[in-house]
Amino acid sequence: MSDDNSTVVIDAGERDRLGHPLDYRELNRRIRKTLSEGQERIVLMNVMGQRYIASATGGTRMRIEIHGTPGNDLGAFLNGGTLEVFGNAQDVTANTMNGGRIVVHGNSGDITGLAARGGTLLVKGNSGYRVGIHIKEFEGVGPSLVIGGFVNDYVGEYMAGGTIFVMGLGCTSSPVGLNVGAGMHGGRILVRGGLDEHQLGPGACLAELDEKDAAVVEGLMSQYEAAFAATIDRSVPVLKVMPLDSRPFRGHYDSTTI
Amino acid sequence: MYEYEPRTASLRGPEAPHGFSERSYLVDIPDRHKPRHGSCGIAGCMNIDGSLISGSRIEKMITTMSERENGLGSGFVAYGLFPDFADEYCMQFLFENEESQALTEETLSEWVYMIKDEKVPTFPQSGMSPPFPLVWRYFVRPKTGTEAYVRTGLSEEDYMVRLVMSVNDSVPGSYCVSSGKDMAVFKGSGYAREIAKFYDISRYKGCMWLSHSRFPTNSPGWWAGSHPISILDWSVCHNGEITSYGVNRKLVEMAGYKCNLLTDSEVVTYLWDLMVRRHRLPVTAAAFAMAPWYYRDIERLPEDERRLANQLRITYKEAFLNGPFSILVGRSDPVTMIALADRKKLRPLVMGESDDGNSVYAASEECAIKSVQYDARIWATRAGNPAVVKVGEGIVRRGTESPFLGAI
Repeated sequence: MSDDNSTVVIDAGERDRLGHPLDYRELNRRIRKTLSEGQERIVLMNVMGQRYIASATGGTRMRIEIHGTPGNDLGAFLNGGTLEVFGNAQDVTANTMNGGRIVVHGNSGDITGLAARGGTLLVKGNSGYRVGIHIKEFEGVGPSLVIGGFVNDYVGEYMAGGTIFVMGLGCTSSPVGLNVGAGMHGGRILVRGGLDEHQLGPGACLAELDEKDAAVVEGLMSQYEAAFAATIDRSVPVLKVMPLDSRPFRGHYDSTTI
Repeated sequence: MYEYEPRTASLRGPEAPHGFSERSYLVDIPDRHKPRHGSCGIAGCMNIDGSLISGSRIEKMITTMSERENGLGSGFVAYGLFPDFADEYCMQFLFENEESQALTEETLSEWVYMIKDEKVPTFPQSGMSPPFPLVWRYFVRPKTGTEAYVRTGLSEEDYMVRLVMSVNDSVPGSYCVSSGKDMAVFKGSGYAREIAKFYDISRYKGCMWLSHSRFPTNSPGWWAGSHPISILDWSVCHNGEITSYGVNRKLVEMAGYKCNLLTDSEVVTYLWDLMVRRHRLPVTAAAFAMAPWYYRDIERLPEDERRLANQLRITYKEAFLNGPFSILVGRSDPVTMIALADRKKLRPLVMGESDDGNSVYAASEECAIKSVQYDARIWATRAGNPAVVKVGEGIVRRGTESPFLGAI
């Protein structure tokens, strides 16, 4: 099933009878139909802003290549398999991802990885504002969001678990913006290339890496290097942003706090 | 909560006011406008060397993002449109009927010399709901030689602003949608693809186009309330909500503007005119006043910038646009595009530039840019940080620089 002959190509650039671009619902219907027929390798050509591509799909052997510019909510609720984007991704990529892997050979937009619960996202370039807000983990299963370049303000806001790694490749100053980890109460934000106290949001603090963190950093760097054929300088220090408290709102709303 | 009482009767029932100035609210819109996603779309394109772009280009950009609209408003603005009448103010009107046109022309004849007038060709589309307005264009010159003009003590531009306000405020069924030189606004109630066909946008050529597709949330969808919203040569396409509308409105009303278009976006246009044309603020300073930094972040600026930032926050505190927004702003002389997102970047905005650097784009989504320029280099502006592009000069700011670069 995985040999090249079984790869299904879908041209998202074709026009409907009114001359409009292929609707996202039709595109996703074709993707699901192909998957339901047992074909797990799909190539999407000429994608131009179609939303929700491959949302809520899965299957460990599923592999979808996307050429062009996928629309918002790429891979929302993804359960497994791999999505690989040859180009930039727009906003809300990997929205509430449960599992699987999304690889973006370019930049991703704002709110990347919103509320993700599992899986891995690798972005070769930069991302925007509010990356990985409200991501969470449960019983040791959590998402890993890796951004090769920089991110802007509010990375990891309200984060409850999982890992965000901002590598700062090609950056001359801090690769994160302001309000890093604002209101976080779980998980870790790893920043390669430094950040200042004033960039931290309320409820977050800076820490050195422990052994477990160092292993995670090395693992994610290797994954990035393998995905994008890159080499990362290991001598640049990586800092960790972590929550000051796992229950920051204790007592704020409930006077009968335990 | 919705502010407006839902109406169960048909939108165009016998008891409803008859005419294009009728308004549709989100609560009582017919099925074809029922929201699927929400949020407006904005798109703009320009050529730095001033060469002309066909309207079909901007039509393709804005319709690529059709998920963002629900058919309750769309519009286009073109600059560099009337080289033969570049020194005349082009006033473009939506009229309810011949009577409102006659009343308007009566008012115009008191204020301005009529150089030329013409009907703007329109082509009603089958999906759109009638009645359709009469669209008319007048090339005018203010009667600046008269004693009446001298008595007003106004500059020529302020005189034109007062004329527009006076028509919109007092002539029933008549709305001036654009009043600048060498530019015009084409807008209405419908999907972007319908409005583009209604005006046959592809027949026009301009060196800069801005466009908007609307998803009205807290204000009604109707013809004159669609974007771009324009005064003089300013035009604004806005995606978002201005929650500080009441405060902003007070400021512009004190300066003589009248808010008649029933939408929060209107104040943004008047704020640009007030701060940059009348108060002569640099664009970066005006943008900072609209989307200021937090005080704790201002503290980290170098001293002269810190002083300027604090002064702007204090002097123009009523110009602070609170709430999520991304806007595209156009003006002429030289033709300029300003792209600005709010200070937390709660609405999308990306920029693009062609490989040769001559074409510059701005849009809510990258796909709108890539649909017309596949090789475009894409970048994102920072929160509250304006990108400024001028015909003849190029990219003045990319929206990633320090806040007052070029202003001090």
